[in-house]
Amino acid sequence: MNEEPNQIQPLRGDASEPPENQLTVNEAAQALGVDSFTVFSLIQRDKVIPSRSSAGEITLPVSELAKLTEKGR
Amino acid sequence: MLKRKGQIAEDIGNGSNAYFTHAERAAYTTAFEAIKPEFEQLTRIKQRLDRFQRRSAERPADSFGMGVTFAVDGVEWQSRVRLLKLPASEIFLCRDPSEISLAVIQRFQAESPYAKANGNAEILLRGDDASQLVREYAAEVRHTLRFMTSNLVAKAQRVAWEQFPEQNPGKVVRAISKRCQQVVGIRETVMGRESVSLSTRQAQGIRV
Repeated sequence: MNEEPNQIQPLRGDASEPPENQLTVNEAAQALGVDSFTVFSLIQRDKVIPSRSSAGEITLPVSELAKLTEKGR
Repeated sequence: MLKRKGQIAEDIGNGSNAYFTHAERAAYTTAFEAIKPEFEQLTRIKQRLDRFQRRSAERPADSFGMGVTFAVDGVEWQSRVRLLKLPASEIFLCRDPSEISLAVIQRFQAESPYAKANGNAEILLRGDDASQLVREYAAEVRHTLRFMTSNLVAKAQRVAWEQFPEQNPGKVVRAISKRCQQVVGIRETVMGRESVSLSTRQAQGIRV
């Protein structure tokens, strides 16, 4: 597994969502029209709840991403 | 080229040599190539962070002239200095019209789906002391960079284990991790050690 110390908050995203409903950080950034740094920052500010792939990479459930593109949140 | 026990020592791009066999070297290259665009972005952001910290140290961040105006939550914020330019957004230190409050504000591209739903600008931090606010924001950026680094290493690890399970993937990932860590953190760690060391010597009355 990842040998880096875990520097992030516990991941509470819906990991039960199938992989096809999970986006990588780069894919999420592209969908939102922001950069990947901003996606990581949004996660750290609890604006979106991430998940983690079996390999340990951060993923974002499509349902979570939708929260960021809904007007009048 | 140095050799040790049949292995080749090569500079792997972080200023230090690692002893790799040809196959390990191939694993390293492949895994690193998989994260190269993000690694380069990480490097650029860290360089910009260093630049704005140097500039802030030389000149108070709120002493710059007024620039762009942002409307956030009904308040017209005036930018004083740009702290960071990201590929798809910019971060500014801003002052409100009353000249009392300061805020770190991120401006997004107006046509982006995120901006359409959340507005073109978002307040990240608020305060009334420019230097302190800039320091707090710099600390947040460093934290985010470490988070990015952790994810990059996880990605490199996946590639190394999936494609090169027989080529010492743990060693390959350690080398990549070290290279990423150097971009975001080693300097601070070394400076921290120097500072502790200096304090100790000063406390012991040793002339430095």
